Parts: sequence; C-alpha cells; structure tokens
Amino acid sequence: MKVDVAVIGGGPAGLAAAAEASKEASVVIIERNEELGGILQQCIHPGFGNFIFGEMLTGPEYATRFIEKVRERGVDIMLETTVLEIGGDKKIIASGRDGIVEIEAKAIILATGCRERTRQQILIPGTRPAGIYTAGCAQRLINIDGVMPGKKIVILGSGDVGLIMARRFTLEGAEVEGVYEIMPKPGGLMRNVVQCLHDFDIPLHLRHTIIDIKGKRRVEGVVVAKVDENLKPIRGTERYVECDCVVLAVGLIPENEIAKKAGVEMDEITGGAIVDEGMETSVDGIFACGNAVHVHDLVDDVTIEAELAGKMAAKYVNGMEERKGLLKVKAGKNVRYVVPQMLRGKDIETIRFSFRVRKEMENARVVVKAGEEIIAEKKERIVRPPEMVKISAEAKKIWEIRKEVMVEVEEV
Amino acid sequence: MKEMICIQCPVGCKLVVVEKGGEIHVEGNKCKRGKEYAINELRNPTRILTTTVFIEGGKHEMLPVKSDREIPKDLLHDAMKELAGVRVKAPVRCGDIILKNIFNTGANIVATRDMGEK
Repeated sequence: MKVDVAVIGGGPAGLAAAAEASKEASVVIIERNEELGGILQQCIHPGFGNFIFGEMLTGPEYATRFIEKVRERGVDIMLETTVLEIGGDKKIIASGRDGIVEIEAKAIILATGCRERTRQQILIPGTRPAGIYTAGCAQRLINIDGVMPGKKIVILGSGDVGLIMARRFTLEGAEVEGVYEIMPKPGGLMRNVVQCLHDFDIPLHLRHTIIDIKGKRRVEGVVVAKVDENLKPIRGTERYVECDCVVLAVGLIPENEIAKKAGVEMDEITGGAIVDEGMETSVDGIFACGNAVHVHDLVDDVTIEAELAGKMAAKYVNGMEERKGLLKVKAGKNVRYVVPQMLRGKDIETIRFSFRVRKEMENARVVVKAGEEIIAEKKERIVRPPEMVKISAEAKKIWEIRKEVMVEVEEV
Repeated sequence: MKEMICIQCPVGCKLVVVEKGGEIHVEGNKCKRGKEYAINELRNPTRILTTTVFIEGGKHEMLPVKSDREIPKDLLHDAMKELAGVRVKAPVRCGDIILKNIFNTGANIVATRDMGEK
C-alpha cells in the first residue's frame, strides 16, 4: 500500500493529526487495537474538551467526535494492525489481520501514546500475588470489561489517573482505604482532588509510600510508611493496611520503541522524541505528537499539537516545507523541559512552547528569550508541576535574532 | 463551619465557610467566584454522574453513560444502584437515552459512545 501520510496510533493524537493531514494528503491510520479512540474509550469521566469544544465531554464522546471526523474525510483505517518497524525510505512493516503488511509512506506521524509505569519501575518489595494492577488496567477492567479488580483497594499515586480511579472504585461499591502519595503535594489537578477524594471522604496520605506487599495467592495487605525529604521511608512509621487490591498510578512513559528503532533522537527528560516547531523529529519526514512526545494532562493540548503535526506532515509531502536553519530551545530557570526542543524556521508565525515547571510558584513570570533578549512574556497566578504551561512567541523575532531560545520562570 | 478548596480556577483557594443565622460567610477566597462556589457547594452541591451499564450483544461488556445534566451529589450512590440493574441491547448510538428523568431530577442517563453489535 502507498500513502502520503501514515499515522501510527489511533488515539486522540493520531485522530487529530489524521483529520488535519487529510485536508491536503491521503492518510492512513494504523491502530493495533480493535477500535479507534485509544485510552479515551475507557476514560468515561467528564472533563475533556473544555478548551476546544467549550463543553465538558467524557472521553468516549471526545473520541467519537474525532472518529466521525476522520471517517467523513475518507481517512483509511487499519485496525488490529501493529507496526513492527519503520524501515529506510519510510516503509512501514506491520502485522495485521491477514499477516504482514507493508505501507510505503511519504511522511509518518508517530502518535503512539504512552504506557504506565509498573511495580518493576518503582521497585516495591514483597511477594507477587494476584490483585496488583496499574490504574489504567483496572480502569479498562471496570469500564469496558465489567470486571471489578477488588473490594478493598489501596491506591499508590495521586496523579489524575489515581484520583479518578479512587472515585470510580468507590462508586462501584469497593472501599478505597486511601490514596498514598510519596510527594508532599498531590500529583493531579485540584479539581480531581476535590471531586474524586473529598466528595467521597477518601483519605489522601501525602509523603507516604508502599514499602511491602503481603499475600501468597492474593494480595492480603500492604505496609505503608512515611518518607523523609529524600523520599526514603522513615523507620518506625510503618503501618499495615489490609486490602485485596493494590492500584498503581505511578506515572506514564512515552511509548517510543518504533521511533528509537527508526533512529529518532530522544529527549532524556520527556522520554519522547525531540521535535521542532512543526512537530518533525530528527529524522526527515517523521513527525511525532501527543503523549509519545511528552505526557500531557489535557487532551485538548494533545489535539492542538497533533493538528499541527498533521498540517506540517501534509506540507512536507506536498513539498511546501520551508527551513531557515537550526536553533536549540533550552529549559531555563525553574523549567524542567520545553517542547519543541529545536526550531528549524518553518512556515509558522506563532510558536507555541509547552513546558513544565520544577516547583510550584505563585505570581510567576514566564519569559521566552532569544539570546539575551526577551521576545515574549506573561504572568501566571500559579504554576504547578502537574499542570503544563504554554507560552507563544513570534517566529519572526526569533529568526531576526537567530540565537538559542530559552524559556524561564521566575517568582515575582 | 466547613472547609473546602475552590476549584473554579487552578489557584485552589482554601475556603472557610460559616453559616450564621441563615447567612453564609466565606473566607479565604481571592475572588468572587470563590464565594459563589462555596454557597453552591453548601446549599445544593451537584455533580455529573458518569458510569457504565451492561450491554447485551455489544462489542464490549459495558456501555459508558452519563447524566446529561448535574444531579444532587447525595443521589450519586442511589443512582449507581438504580443503574446496576439496567441492561441495554446493542446497537446503541452516542446520546441515546438509557434511563429517563432519573429520580425526577430532570436528568436523563445517556450513552456516551456508539456501540455496535459484536
């Protein structure tokens, strides 16, 4: 099969990228699952689409809108097809319903999303009984398969997924003993702390972690303990908690096995591909967007980024792409990372920088500098590490100065 | 006296709400939206309910649904019990009404996705 743009992944990023690219190019979405929509299909709670649609949609509703869009635009859809590798000349090798398939694309968009961190990545000691789930896995079991993973639940991690699952378990009749968070502040949005925990009187134990899991065939309980400033458990604070299910909501990692094999350069901090202002990676004609680039907290931000990737991929195949050079973008004071990490001087008037801060700050001043010159700035009443911050800057100014770009945040 | 966190914006003001002689006093809010939020949370807290119901002959076992408007927070658990007994048949379209006017709240329970037959 030959196509202009091949999109790998049919979640929110892949759908938005495909819908946009299909305005100017032929597009195929390659999805390993049996349906489109990605993780949105199991995120049945509301809160999606406030920015783009001005409505609080549920995950499946948000997915439905984009699935309808790609269908209307005549995008080819290959389901139950797993991409194995991207060869030279952008030839994709995939394993599908009828065996191995080859797709020759002029441009590729990686929209492979992310995966959950597991017990192995945070090294919780103890036995290996049944009843230990990642939060996303528990969410799928409850919301799609109709299976309850346990009756008395301990949740580790207070990111949005952990909080949402605390409410979901409670509504379905399970008892959530508590949510344990190793950091001094909750990892998720305040809205979720209030509506998922406070609403149901679920305790949140900050500066706590699980140090042991007990049980032979089935989880019987966990040992929790307080941690010190270095996140090490404090002797004497151990407490045994009886439970039959442990839910781990301990972070997400961009999924980039295929990208790495294709030689795409990675950002060590985001765990995703290094991209330019048009979401193109270090490899010519390979673009990336969504959680495969950096883990987002709002799907609307994924959509905006993916639409840009789609638009630029179509420009690339139509030979309309411009380049002015190569400038680096650096994370300055109080900033953990910035996307895009580089600029190539493409035909984009306003460049949107997305970044995360290292610590919570009130009355923060965000600046974008080109060399020593400030080219954009804005004030934020509060910035927190769990919430992605965005700032736009004019490309024209950057290319007039032609110096390294840096994003900084200061408390004023 | 009741303590709550305002969720109208990301600042998350810690509010202290005191009811005296039928009047509600709010402290800790940095803007007027905080006061409105606190009064509403005290007088008539409401939420959108999202959950699932069993679907027969569908692609999956469960169909995601929601209340198409907010319902009183106190009714969430009762609504869950009511919906545990509901069974629908595929195919279903996104927006189809699954249960009309639950507990006379004026809210319908509607499907939040299309689900075709297996």
